[in-house]
Amino acid sequence: MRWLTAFLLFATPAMAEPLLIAPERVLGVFDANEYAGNDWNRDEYQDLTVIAISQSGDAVDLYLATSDPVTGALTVTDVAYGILPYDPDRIGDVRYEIFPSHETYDPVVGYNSEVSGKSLYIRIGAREVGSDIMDVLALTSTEPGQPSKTNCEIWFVNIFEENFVPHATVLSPDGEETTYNPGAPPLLADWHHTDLPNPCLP
Amino acid sequence: MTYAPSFLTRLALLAAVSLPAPLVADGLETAPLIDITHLVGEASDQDMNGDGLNDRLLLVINDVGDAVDMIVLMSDPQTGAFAPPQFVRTVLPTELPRHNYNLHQINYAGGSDPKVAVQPVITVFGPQSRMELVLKQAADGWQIDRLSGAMAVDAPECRLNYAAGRGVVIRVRQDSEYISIGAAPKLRPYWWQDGLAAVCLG
Repeated sequence: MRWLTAFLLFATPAMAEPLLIAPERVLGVFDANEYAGNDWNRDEYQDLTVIAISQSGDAVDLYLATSDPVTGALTVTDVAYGILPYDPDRIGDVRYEIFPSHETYDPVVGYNSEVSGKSLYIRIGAREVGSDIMDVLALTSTEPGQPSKTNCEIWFVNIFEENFVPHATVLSPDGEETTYNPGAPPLLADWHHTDLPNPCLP
Repeated sequence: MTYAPSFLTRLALLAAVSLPAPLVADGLETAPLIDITHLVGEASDQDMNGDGLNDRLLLVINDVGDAVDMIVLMSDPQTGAFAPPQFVRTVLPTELPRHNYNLHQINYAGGSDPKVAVQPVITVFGPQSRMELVLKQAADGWQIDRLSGAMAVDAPECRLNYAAGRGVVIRVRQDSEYISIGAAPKLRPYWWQDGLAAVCLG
């Protein structure tokens, strides 16, 4: 009986512990904007999206924290380890950003290299459970005033298109265009930037 | 003879494996660490120390939940990496829980003249108060150059320019009142409780 009491006492799940991080690892924060984006559980409390340098120091991780509908307190509910590349030798060159997407206010993470002119944007379908990747866009800047060249465009989801079929267009370095169906949106928890075809990578 | 641990030993062992783990983070950390769910703002696209490299500001809600801490990460021109973070505690009032109408922002003033350091502008819009501070780094720490906002729903709006030594108080349905103000307040913890012109507190 005493063993049972001890078991019940100590087997009680501990409260969720805070996820602590060094300030120098934080690369971007998106908690709210004037359009009330970033409230994916629609409880009127802000949810939170953070990008930070990974533990290994060679990638960027994405954290999604969802609000408690009663207290508003945030808990990290999803993490994408390695959503973007990170190179400590290119600190002055590469800029990271996180912002609401133009049409839907879903969080978008971005990578921009001034030296190579390459950019990579990934739009997140944020949810309490099972967040996924909505679309990916990779660009290379050209001459000033000219439109950027699209190296890669992958659409897993498009809420504005009826009868939408996932599709991807990838341009090889020698200019050959490949179009294919990328399939269902990948879950954020399973995603890594190296899953992308080479022309999509910055 | 076989070793049979006593009941108390077993209980202690059970407790050791059942208790919550200490508050350690997931690597690369140097103290102090921050709770990732308390982050409310980040900006890293401006050079505040004039070394040609971008610096970074973070805004984090403090443990009590009544104010925002500012964390300054200045670039080290020798290495290009960030120097150890500078924590400036409780610089803006805020309120929890974080409703969608709570908005924290980081902007910058200046920047057109590369010889003049840009000044961070930090803002909170909450249900009870809103405040915008233009900051300046002095030899002995950060101070407030300009302030605008209202500390409470029924408090007047104050616009204070410490560099000019004057301010204006705007009350609803009354004329504006110009006031003289003293020296720029240092950005010390809860500075607004006794460092703000009394008329601004309502």
